[in-house]
Amino acid sequence: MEEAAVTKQPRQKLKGSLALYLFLTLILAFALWYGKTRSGPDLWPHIVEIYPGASSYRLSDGVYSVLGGEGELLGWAATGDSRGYGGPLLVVVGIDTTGNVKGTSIVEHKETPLFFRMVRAPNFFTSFTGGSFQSINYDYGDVVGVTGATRSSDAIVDGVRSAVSRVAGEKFGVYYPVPEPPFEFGLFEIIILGLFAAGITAVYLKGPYREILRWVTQVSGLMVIGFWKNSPITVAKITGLLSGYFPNIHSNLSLYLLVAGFAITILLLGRSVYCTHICPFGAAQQLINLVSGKNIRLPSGSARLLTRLRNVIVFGAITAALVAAQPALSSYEPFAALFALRGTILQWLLLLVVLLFSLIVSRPWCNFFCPMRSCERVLQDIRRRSLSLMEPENE
Amino acid sequence: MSNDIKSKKWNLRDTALILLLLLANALIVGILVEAFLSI
Repeated sequence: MEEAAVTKQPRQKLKGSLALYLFLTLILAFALWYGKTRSGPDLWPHIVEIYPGASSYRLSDGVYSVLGGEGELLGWAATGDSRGYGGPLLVVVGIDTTGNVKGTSIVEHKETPLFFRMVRAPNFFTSFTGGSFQSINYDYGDVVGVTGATRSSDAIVDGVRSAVSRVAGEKFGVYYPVPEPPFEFGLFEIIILGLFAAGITAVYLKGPYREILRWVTQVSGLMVIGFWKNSPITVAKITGLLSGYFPNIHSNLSLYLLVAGFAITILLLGRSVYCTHICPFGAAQQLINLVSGKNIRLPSGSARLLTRLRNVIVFGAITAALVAAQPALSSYEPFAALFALRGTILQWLLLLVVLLFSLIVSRPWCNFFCPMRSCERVLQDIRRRSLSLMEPENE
Repeated sequence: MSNDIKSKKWNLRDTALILLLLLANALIVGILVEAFLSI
């Protein structure tokens, strides 16, 4: 039915919305350029934080020599970069002339503020400092990882390790290799592939098994992607990819599988199997809706207005995040509140409103608020255009 | 008359729903503003 509508869509209309797309793409490109060209971070305040008596520093061979008021050498400092949840993360580590770690400081990060506050807990940073750089144990036994913000705390550990290795190699002649993260292809990744395979099968199944299989994939998605891993697709991840931030595939294979599965099923099948069969938040709403079984439909005009409002908000959030060069800021989904029990007051309120709505409206988040629905529409439009280009012109 | 009352009821329900959905949108904008202010 959708296909019929596609071929009947007037070419004039297609051209009109193409102009709008081009205009919006130009805005996004400008926002991206602006965010990328802003000046880099100032290291000095962080060096003073680690060496309170510092009066100057100079760089040679990638290591900063930190000097006191009379030009005496206080120690060294080096930066280490890594990849966090929202984007690149830069850490500076100070090591004094005896080889003891003086301190660490985060120079720049693109993590979600709520989660980053968790890793800022004092015991996390003090676990690196005081002892010799050779005695740091980067395993979580010694370095207190922060539950619920694992990727951010992993990124800090990687950054510290990289900075320490630089000073150790240059100033102490100690070769300190930074290991490449292992390729993660485990149960979680297999389940994601299985869910997509089952979801696609369910789309084409006939009879009662279609619904049964859909419930199986939805509940599995809720348990695995939601409560177990808390890693549904969010707009922050899309904004990150748009801004050219591609997390290490070795440790983020699941993210690539989910995003690729989302996009490929829309482009090939015309519908998002992820949204209808796998998304844990969609499943949560659907389960709540089972309680009443009601589905109040809004007048079509109001529904259209609300979806347009959603598109405007999503576009605004992505543009602003690109301008600020902080992809994580574009996320407004209350997923973490439900799946990891973490959120700001506003996120908790939003979760409450959406879940209450789910009692009387089917999947209110998906229909009126979800940024991935806006992304789905864009991909469906691309598919529609490609198909219409392939059709012979019947005018 | 009864149709009028019924349609009024429906309108009231729809209006209440739309207002609540707009409230959720306001919460979303609030979440975004809060995040950007925390930079």
